[in-house]
Amino acid sequence: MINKLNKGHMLYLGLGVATLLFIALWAYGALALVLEISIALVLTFFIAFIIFSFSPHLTTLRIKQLILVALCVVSLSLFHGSKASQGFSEAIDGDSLLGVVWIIVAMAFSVRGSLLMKVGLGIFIFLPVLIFLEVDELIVKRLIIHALFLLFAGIMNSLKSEPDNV
Amino acid sequence: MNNNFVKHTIALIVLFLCVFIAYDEWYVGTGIITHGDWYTVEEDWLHEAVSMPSIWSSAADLGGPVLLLSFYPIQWAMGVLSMMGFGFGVIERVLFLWPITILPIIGMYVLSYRILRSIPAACVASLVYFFNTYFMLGRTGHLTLMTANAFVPLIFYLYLKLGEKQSYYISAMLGILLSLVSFYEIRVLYMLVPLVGLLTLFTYRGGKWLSISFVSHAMKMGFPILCAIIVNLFWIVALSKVSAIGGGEFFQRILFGNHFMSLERAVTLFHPFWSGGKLATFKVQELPFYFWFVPILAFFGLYAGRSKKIVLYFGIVGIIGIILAKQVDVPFPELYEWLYLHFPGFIAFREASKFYGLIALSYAILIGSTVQWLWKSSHKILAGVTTLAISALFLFNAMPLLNGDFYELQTVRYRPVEYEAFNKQLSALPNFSRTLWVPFWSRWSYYTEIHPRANILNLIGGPWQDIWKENGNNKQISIEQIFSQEYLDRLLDLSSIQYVVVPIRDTDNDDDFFVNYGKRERFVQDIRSLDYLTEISPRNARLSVFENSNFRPHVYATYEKDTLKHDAQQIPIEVDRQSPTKYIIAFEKAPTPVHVYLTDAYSPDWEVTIHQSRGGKYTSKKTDAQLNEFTLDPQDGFVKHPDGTISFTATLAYRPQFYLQQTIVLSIALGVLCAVLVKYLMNKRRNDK
Repeated sequence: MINKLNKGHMLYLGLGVATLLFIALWAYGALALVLEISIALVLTFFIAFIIFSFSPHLTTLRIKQLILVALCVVSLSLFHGSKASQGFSEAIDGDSLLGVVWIIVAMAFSVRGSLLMKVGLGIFIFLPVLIFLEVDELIVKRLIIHALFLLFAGIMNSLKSEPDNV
Repeated sequence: MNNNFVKHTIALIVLFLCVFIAYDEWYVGTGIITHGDWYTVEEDWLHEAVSMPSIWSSAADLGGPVLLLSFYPIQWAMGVLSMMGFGFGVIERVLFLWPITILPIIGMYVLSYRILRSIPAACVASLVYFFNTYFMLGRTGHLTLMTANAFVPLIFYLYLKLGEKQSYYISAMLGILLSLVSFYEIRVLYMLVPLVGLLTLFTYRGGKWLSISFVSHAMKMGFPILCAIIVNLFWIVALSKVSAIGGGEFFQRILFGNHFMSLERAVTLFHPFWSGGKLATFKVQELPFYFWFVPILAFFGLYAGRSKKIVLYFGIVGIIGIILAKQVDVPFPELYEWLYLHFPGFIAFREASKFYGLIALSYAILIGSTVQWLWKSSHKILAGVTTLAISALFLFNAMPLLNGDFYELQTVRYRPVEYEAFNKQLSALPNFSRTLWVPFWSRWSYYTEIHPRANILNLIGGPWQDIWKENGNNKQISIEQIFSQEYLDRLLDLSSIQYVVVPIRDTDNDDDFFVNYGKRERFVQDIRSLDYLTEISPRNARLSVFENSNFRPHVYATYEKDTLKHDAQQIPIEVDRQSPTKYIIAFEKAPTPVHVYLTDAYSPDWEVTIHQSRGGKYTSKKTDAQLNEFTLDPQDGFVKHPDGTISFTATLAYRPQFYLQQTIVLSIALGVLCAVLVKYLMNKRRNDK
């Protein structure tokens, strides 16, 4: 029966799950965070819709992806730093936001998982040198965050390329 | 003989040698090992444990609901071993110390070998999992948590097997192991559930996600967890019926140790209190430089093993572990607090160190993956030397055990003779009475349900603090202040406190807490100045014991209200104690109304039901001593004696115990049903073949 589900069913199912999730998050007090991300995404797709409607020459998938990601990043960053965001949850700090961007970019452009992991690992190998040179603790912390996000994006993209099972 | 078998045997012998050398005291002799949060218990307590579980216990302080009822099966097993004649030294070894040292080595060895197919990699993975700073420190006191964690690699090994093929035998084994984990430490089961959910996705090979085959795979993986939940149902339901657990304090606790945890420490698998030498609890230590090699080795293993889905899985487990174990550090600084406040069950993780277990599990596999890559891609000698260097990085953590810095849980302790004598004296007392320890109870202190122990620090931080506040004070009351209160005499009487004891300054057993709470002599002097207490120990004794002869029975009745200010006259009643949660009280020629008292901490879940009267149910009211009082006024259907008194019987019971009894039956019935189902499916499969 599950195999017979069509796209319409899936849409309703998706909407149902999203509504339930929304209610659950609202009940648990995380609505502010959801709102922040939702507004940024709605803004992105609204602007993207206008751009794509008035510029029919932007047809290739890569260009569309690029514009979508850029808009997503810009609107998320702008909204996060804007006055409208004040009073909302501050659960996402600047570095984490950039980390989320790494994941969006990596997923949207299907960057090779091994490349992302290499960069993440490279940062970790570089860290002892920075610590030895007594570089500011904050810089070390921020580099760790970016390395972790890159590794996570690397894992996700490696999974997409369907590795062997054990 | 199979060449591989010989190699595995040699590898395991070498690993166990490392463990036995480090933890020799746990294997040689049967003396009592106790330190920090790991307390010893008396034989009477162990014998008491072989009984039906009770959701209320009077044994500590003024009593309260048992929050860790999931531990009951282990307590029961301890009691059975004690009844078979084994002492606490043997019991703690069989149920805790030996599993802690044997299971992680075997479990991680088989798990990592299954994933990596390399003996050197499996050896290094076992060493990483066993000798990391988190587990090393955990084994100095948090033994229940460590025992639960010891099962984890074995559980993942069986789950990987189950993910590949349908096996009811493995399902049953997993159900048993997960239940054992929950008995030792329910929080470890809580951490495992989402990880198993994620593993379900990683081990699925059926193709389409929205298909019957995925649902069947998910059910197969979820069945053992369902079994573990069913087994634990008995206390989950009962505890949900307890009003304001622990006076509500449990749910009002704020996060602890925010400044201990950090991203750097989580990433490097470095416990904040790891000094590399003597124990430094609650003192955050500098992160040594060489610990930065740990994440490099782990993430290189992730990169090297990226073609294996299961290695990627352990990469995600590690990242989840890091994100949670850093507590409120960046990234997502508010995530932990949000989970703590809103996510069901997460309130049990007041501080994040437990999530180091996930990092250890992940890093063990990932570093193993690095070693596997080394042996595959480089010269054998180079690979061997590097493997030894990586092993040394973790084996070096065993140094405090070898040089005696971690002597605390490596030393056999002996009970001082004074405690031996006093414990015997308490054990011989037939009636209920409490012992109040000032400032804190000794690890050798005697306690049972009949003779509870209380310590003054817990009381002035809890129920006695409320009395202090009700008298118009806002600040925390100190020990000196409570001794100068006029109502203390009555408070001791009403709380059934028969003895007030100042423990020995027991430096031989690391049982000297006067270093934290002030001079011992000062406490003795303060108590000596109270004329309502009689010193029964010699004046210069190491253990000072004072007797309060006017203490109230556990359950008693009075004509008038018995308060801190008014000493009411008692009515003779007969009390039959059937369990810690049920008392049958017989009143002969009692006046009406009659005031009945239970000298345990107040809980609205205590109620008295009068047998001869319909609807004669009375709920507990809080007394000014923060205890339980019931004003019984039975009228309907009673024939009064000529003097106006009546005779009746009543049951004093703790209501949530009823749900506990019902759900025990349900748990057992469902457990048996699961077992029968597994057996039936196994037989069916055999017949089909």
